[in-house]
Amino acid sequence: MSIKVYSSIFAVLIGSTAFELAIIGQPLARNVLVTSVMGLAGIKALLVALFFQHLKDEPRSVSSLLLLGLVAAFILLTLSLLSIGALHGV
Amino acid sequence: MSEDHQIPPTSSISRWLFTTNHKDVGILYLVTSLYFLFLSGTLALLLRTQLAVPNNTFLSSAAYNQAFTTHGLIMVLWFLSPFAFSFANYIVPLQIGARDLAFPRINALSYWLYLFSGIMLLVSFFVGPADGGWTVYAPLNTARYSPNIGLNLTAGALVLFIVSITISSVNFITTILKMRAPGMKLMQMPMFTWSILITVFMMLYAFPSFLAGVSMLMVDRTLGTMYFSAPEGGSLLWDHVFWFFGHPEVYIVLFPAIGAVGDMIPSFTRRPLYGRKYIILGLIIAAVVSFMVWGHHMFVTGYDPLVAKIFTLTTIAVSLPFDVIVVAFIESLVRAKIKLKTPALFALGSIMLFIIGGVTGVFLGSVAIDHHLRGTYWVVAHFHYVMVGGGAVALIGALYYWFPKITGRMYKESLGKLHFALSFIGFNLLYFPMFINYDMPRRVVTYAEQAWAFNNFLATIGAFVFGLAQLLLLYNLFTSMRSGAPAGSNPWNAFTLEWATTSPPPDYNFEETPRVNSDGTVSLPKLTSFANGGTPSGYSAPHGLPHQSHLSPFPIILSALAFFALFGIVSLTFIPSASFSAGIVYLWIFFAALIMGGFAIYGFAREKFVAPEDETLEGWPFKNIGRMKMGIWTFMASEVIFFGVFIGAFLFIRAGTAEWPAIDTIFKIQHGAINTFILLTSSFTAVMAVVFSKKSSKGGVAASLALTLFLALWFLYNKATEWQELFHEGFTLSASPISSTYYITTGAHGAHVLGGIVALAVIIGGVLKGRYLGHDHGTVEYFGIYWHFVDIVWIFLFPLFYLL
Ligand code: HEM
Ligand SMILES: [Cu+2]
Repeated sequence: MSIKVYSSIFAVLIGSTAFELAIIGQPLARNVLVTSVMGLAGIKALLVALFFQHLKDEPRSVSSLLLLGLVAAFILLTLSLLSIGALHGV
Repeated sequence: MSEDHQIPPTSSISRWLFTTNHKDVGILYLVTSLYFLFLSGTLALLLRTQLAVPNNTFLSSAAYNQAFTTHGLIMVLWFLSPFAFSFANYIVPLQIGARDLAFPRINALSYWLYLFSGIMLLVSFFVGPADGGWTVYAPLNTARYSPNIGLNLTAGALVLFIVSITISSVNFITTILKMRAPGMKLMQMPMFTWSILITVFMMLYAFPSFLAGVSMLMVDRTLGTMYFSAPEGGSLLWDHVFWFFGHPEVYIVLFPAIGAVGDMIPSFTRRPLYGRKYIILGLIIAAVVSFMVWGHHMFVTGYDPLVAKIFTLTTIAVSLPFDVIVVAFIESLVRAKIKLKTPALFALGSIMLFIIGGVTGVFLGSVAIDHHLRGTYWVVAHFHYVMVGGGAVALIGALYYWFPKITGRMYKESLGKLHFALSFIGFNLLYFPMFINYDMPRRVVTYAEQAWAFNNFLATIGAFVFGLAQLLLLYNLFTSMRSGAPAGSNPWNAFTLEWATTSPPPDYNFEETPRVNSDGTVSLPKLTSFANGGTPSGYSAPHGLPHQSHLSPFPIILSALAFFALFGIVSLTFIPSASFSAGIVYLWIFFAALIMGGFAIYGFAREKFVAPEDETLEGWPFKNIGRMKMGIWTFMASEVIFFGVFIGAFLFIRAGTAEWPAIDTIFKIQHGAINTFILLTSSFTAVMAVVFSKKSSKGGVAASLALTLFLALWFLYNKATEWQELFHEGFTLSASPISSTYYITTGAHGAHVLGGIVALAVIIGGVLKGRYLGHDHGTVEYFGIYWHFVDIVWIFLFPLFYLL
């Protein structure tokens, strides 16, 4: 991959972090705020994984390994939070 | 040392200390796990002696609690899986036609870490054992209720053990998925190899949760954090983290046994396994669903009823694949002319016991019934029928089955049959009465109720029959090892590849790499030259075979140092403040081990160790990725869970905390933001290092990596000043659950940054000497994969702690 691609990804990462910092000052509803900030974090993480870790050039089985891990962690998180009634308002 | 072409003979000590050959490592696992079986079995006999009659005073209640805790920990962790791993090590590479595991030195490292973890557990047993049961429930595990060094050492032992398991899973996944004989499709792999593949996948995703939990326990006990001592996290948090690992764990100890039975049945019925495809599918489905059922161990914690419903449904779902497996096994046996040799007897017995265990588990899966049976001897009987009956009994059969391959000699058949008969009778006499005592509480030292007396007495007799019968196994194997009849390559006329080479196989396994034809048959061009069996003399490979190293001193050295470093640190935090000199000693042990560890890692990295990578091997679905890179990625998958659990624990505690501090009050946005920019930039410099490395630009690589190193150090420096400020404001580790989660979650991340810094220092040193350039750019790339992962974790920690 070219230096140009890496540099643009880097610029997007810095830019979206600045954007995160910008929106937390805004008078937004809590759930809008949480969704957009965590959404941005997700996008940043995805960009790093696909382009810097070159996941997009690896066999899809590699991403599946990681995806499985994410899904497992997500199940643990959801069910344990549900078990204390923490997600009922959502 | 590794350049030697000759491996020392089996009579030489240095062979066993430094070997990396999968067959040797398998034997080491075998001997060690059997040792733990007998040790833990002795504890069990003490427990049964105490319970033989009502109101007995043979053991004090403290001794009783310690004995059943250590018994459970050893049997589940230090015996069952390592016992299965001895066959996984010895047999799996043979079954897929490989010459060794993907990472032979890492494999030896796994073994030595396992051994040293066991030693640490034994030390803990003698200085003040854990006594809260193998589940180590909170808050009994906290410093307040278990103020003894023993539990610290137990936690340390668990850490070593989990590290060993994790690197083993990476090793086996890489080996099985990338190093199969040319032509061997996944569905053509033998059942045992399949079961190990599924087992290590479960290990990869389940054990990191346990590691995270044990780490939290460790810092709670040593640094005074409050994960499990404060009500926001507390016992419920431990239950979730433990059982999320714990339920997959019970399948982890079971599946290799199912796989071994799946290989033994065809050998003794002389026909293919019925519904083989469905058995494999069933195992895969059960493995996946096993990560969604953990809540059935928590029905009585009074958690949300909706969640209880979900867990009831998933528990019913997870038992269905087992129905399929059991039916397939039974179908494979009906009207078969089975040759009832010892391994076959154990396989059949194991299926029967497993069925009883499974059926009684279904009762427990119902919330209403579980409220009555929970914490009783019904549960004890249930899990012994599945784990000992379904698991250990089948694996003992596997030991008889593969013993001729490993030693080249036959065991004594009649003695084996006697062993089976006594084991089977003893087992049922031991555990069946416990079902009848379904109203007797477990984990209590004695009872007054006369109604329970008779069944307890029977159980104790059964225990001695079962226990003593195992001495027959030892006697049989020891004597047959030397004087048994020669076995030849394939005494069972079995169909799988391990039988296509001599018994025992030469250290390179096959003279020529076997080829699997599309109809499943195997071509072994030069097999005839081995046809006579017996021990191959001399260990140099035939001409034309790529050289493979089989010795390294570093696995045992690294494991010993890890042992001492952990031992120093967990002991240090426990000495009374008065004995200052003892503290100094432990501190020295810790630092000395750490520094020597640094040198050992460097030596490991620089050692010339040859493990040839063969492009012709079958590697679907990982054909187009190098072995090393695949190993790193697999390891990263376990890291995802590790950090996922830390973040999950943080959210769990946060959800239970009434007043979370407003943003920018405690955690200043500015601190977090600066560190975010630093880490993002360091990812960019790390990826540029790969670009330069591919172009063989030494200056470019050195500069980019040096910049990465500088940024990493800057990140840690900022972290340190931030922590110092917070400490001055009274926001200490033990201030609140909020501060605990903050320091430990970002601390675990910081430790990974530190690890990256060490790696960077080593790699930069190499680059300056002209290494890691051009074709050799892999190392720089692998470092990047790790480093970007550390960056990604921070990308999530930043908003979670600082912005929301
Ligand atoms: C057939 C499907 C199975 C079902 C529905 C089932 C269900 C359950 C349930 C609900 C419990 C909790 C009982 C309680 O503490 O009140 C339990 C305990 C247990 N089960 Fe199973 N089980 C099954 C199979 C297995 C298998 C295959 C194994 C291991 C090889 C196993 C090992 C255990 C262990 C070790 C415990 C006790 C944990 C403790 O110390 O508290 N189970 N089972
Ligand atoms: Cu379970």
